[in-house]
Amino acid sequence: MEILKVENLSKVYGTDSTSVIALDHVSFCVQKGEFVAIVGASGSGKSTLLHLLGGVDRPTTGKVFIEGKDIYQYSDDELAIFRRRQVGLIYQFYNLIPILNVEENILLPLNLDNREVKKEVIDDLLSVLGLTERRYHLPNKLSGGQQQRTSIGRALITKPAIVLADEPTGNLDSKASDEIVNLLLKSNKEYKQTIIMITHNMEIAKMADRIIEIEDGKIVREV
Amino acid sequence: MKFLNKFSIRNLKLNKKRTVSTIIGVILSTALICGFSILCLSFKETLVQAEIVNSGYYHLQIENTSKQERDVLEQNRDIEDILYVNKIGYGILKGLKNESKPYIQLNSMDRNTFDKLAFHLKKGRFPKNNHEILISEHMLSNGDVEYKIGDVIELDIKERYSIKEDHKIDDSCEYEAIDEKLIHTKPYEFTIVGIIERPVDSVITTNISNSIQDIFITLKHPNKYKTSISQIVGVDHFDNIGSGKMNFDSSRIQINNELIRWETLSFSDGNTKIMYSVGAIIIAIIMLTSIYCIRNSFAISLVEKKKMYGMLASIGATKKQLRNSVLTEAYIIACIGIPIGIIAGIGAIYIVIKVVNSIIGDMLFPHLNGIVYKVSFIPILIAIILGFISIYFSARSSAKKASRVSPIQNLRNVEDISCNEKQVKSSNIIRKLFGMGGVIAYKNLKRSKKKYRTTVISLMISICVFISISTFIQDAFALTAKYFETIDYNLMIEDYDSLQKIDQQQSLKNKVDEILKNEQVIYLYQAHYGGMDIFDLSKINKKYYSKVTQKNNVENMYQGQPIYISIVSVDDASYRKFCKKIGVNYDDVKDKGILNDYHYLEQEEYKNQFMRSFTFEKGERIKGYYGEKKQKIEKTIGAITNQSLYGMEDTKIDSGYLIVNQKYEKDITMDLSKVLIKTDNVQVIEKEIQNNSLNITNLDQFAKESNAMRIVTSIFLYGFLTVIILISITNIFNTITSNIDLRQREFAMLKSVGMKSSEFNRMVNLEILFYCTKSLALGVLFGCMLSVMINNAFKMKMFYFPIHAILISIIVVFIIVFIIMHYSVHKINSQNIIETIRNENI
Repeated sequence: MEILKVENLSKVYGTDSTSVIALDHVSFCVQKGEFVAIVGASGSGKSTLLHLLGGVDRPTTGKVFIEGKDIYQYSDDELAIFRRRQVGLIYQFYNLIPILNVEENILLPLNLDNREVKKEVIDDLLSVLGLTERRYHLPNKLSGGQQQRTSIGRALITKPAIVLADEPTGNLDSKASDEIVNLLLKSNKEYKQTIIMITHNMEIAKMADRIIEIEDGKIVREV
Repeated sequence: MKFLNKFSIRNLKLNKKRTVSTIIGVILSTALICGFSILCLSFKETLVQAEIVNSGYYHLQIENTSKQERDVLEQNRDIEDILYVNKIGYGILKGLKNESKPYIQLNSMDRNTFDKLAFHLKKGRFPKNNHEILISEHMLSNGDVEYKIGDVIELDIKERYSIKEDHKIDDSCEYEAIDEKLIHTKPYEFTIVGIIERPVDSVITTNISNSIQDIFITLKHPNKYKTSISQIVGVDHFDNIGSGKMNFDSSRIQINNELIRWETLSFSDGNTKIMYSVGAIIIAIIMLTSIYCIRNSFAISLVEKKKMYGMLASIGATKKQLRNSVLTEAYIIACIGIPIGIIAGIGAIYIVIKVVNSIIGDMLFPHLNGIVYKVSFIPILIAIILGFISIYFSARSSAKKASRVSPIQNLRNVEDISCNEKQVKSSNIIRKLFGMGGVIAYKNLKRSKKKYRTTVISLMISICVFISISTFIQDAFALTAKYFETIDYNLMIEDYDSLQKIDQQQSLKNKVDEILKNEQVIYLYQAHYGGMDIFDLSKINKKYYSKVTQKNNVENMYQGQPIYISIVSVDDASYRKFCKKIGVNYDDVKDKGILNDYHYLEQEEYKNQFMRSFTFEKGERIKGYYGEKKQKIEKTIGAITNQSLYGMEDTKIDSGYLIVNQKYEKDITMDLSKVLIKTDNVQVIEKEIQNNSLNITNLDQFAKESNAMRIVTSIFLYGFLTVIILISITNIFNTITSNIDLRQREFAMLKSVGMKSSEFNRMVNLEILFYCTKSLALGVLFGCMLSVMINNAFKMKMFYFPIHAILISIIVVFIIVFIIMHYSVHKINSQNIIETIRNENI
């Protein structure tokens, strides 16, 4: 089942002589439960593509359909609600809320939606993430790997349609990177979570079901 | 929403410095609003109480009411209370000497009425029955007999009767010795049990009733006095009282205008406008300062949390949620700051009033021992409402901006500062003077104009208000100070019951000469008939009189009416002294007149100008008619002056006055008007001369009271200024500290690439210099402009540049900014460089 469809997606920054085409008429599809890796050199448009898929930025032209709905027909508020329910975003630099502890950061999308979750669910997730003992710690008391795991927990708590990870291991050492990748793989294999991940690491990319290579804002290869 | 409320509280707790300084700002502004309102209320209450102490608590007096009239009034719903004074009659108190009124009035009333009409029992007690009496202290020794408590007196009480008009009369009629008599004698015997301050010509007893009574009415709703009084006296409109048909003759009605004026604050249109305008301006200054301060706090908070709001937006927080998060913080700050501010305001004013009263209370309102402290729910309500309004308007824009933070801003680390090369260009002079550190600081100043503007504006407002208030205090009291400086005496004795009798004049002069051996004494005389009428109008200054006509709304003076000029004289020694004062040779003018016909004009187009009412020149003769018999007199003008004669400083005569030498004045009978004494023993001499028929003015006392008022006004104004400055300091502290905090990584990077401490300090000092010079330049400029406006409002002849206020501003501003900047930077200096650079959570 097709969970994501991208049609002629373009993003241009600036105007006239200073304009930069970050994405140039990109089109592709992702099936439910697929693990897709996006690779490409710096400045190729990978992050721009991911932000557009997550509804974090608006395209210049083109459409993005998630579960059959064109997300850019939504208003800003509808897009925000879409983000908290349908998308899980994981960033290279974690982007945790510094004044919320691990549990609160994980539960943030649910709290914004005024939804409760059973204690067992969060306990389970914390256990899977290996963060049970860090439950009440603030981000500045965590290592890089622990912060990223928290970020993954936040992305997975709502069981979103799609998880978008932008260089999730970029800021981590090899051991922490392995942990993160394993978590993502686990969520994909065991929970059929659809994941699109940007990475520079070809070893990690090879673990995905499909690799999309982007160059100068265009898809040049799909493997 | 519960999560976001918790989130907001957590935010506030974790940013303690910011939160505390914002709350302090709220406390200060709320305290100031509440305090100012309480102060106004207390002053109003003081003036009301002072008036009650002075004249009693009633709004309307109706004399000689019949029982029928009283029965009707007692049913009136607008009346709160009625006090009854039984007018028993008139009698002659043995030994009492008062040629203007040789008899006294006997009144009867109950204790409640006595207290409420403020007759002030000075000694003894209130009568218990109708054989006991109170007499006034004026009667104690004003004649051949000295009365004291315990004495038994006999009074034949009668009624006054007008021979000419053939009917009874009451105390509304002036005494006419040849036209009235006392009739229908009723004998009474009383024991004196107490002494009262006033009234001077009445004695008071109790338990004697009379069908004719004076009544004193207190209204239920003083604010609706016009409607109530109109309805009581039987007119359709308040302005119609005295004209047309009424329930009572207008001569029987007396409205206690003074009390009503203070209770309802109903002054003349102009004065009310000024009063409310000043109040509105003060409240506006407070609100603007506090909104600016609190708004700045929220703006800084937003900048610090922009990344976080971006994160929340990227995770799915809606605009409304982000906006409400900020507003919730504002609401929490309000709920903490406003109640504390109200308590602080109530307490602060209480303490200030207590302190003021302990220092000068007996000089301000002696009967009340100073200012009355009054609190009601109204100032508290005003403070709460204005406090919430201020905070809402402060937080509103930050809330809106927070809702507009886009998630992509957070992800792309887009800074809110965008600049181009031109914007941050700096000249070589900066480099030479301040080094690389100075260059970086200068560039930072240029690119972050908004942040610096906040600090500059806060400083500017404080400087401006400080200079204006200093000028206000200086000008407000320069006039009175100058007045007392130019007066050559400090004790003034005036006639109370007329000194027109030669024997009375001589008696006073003898007494004065006896007591005052070495003091300087000036005897001021007034022509018996006041002055002379000038029919020849060729010498009047038409320009002046056209102005006078407009001003006084008097019919055109050119219509054949004479111009009246007052004639006064002083004793020879004083005349000689006055000649020296005005720079005129005594021998040239000793037997001539000195004309003072200069007038200060208050109209806008003539402000600060003097204009003469005549065009007489020195050497010319003034001709006119004097007295009832139109005696022709002529006076040669020996000199013309604009300086006031001794004792005439406060006198305003439209046409002016002519000064002659008492020694040489033969044409006109002059009556002693005032005795002016310059002495170091004011109180001793005052006591010696004390006489109930004389009005003795202790100008030293006036000067002290004036000084007391200056001190009180200064205390309150400088108190107000202090709080404004504290709010500004809070604002400046917020801005500067957050600015430094946000640039921690930048400073750490500079140090990591090798910037020395000295260069770092130079960078900081340049920023201090910028803050201070720009804010001082603007603050002094606007402060001086406001000072000129204040100067004009007081119609001062010269503008005194507020140099002291400016110098103080310069010193204080530099000190404050220096301390705050170096305090903020000191913390950063102790941090580890690399940890600061790495810290993503700044």
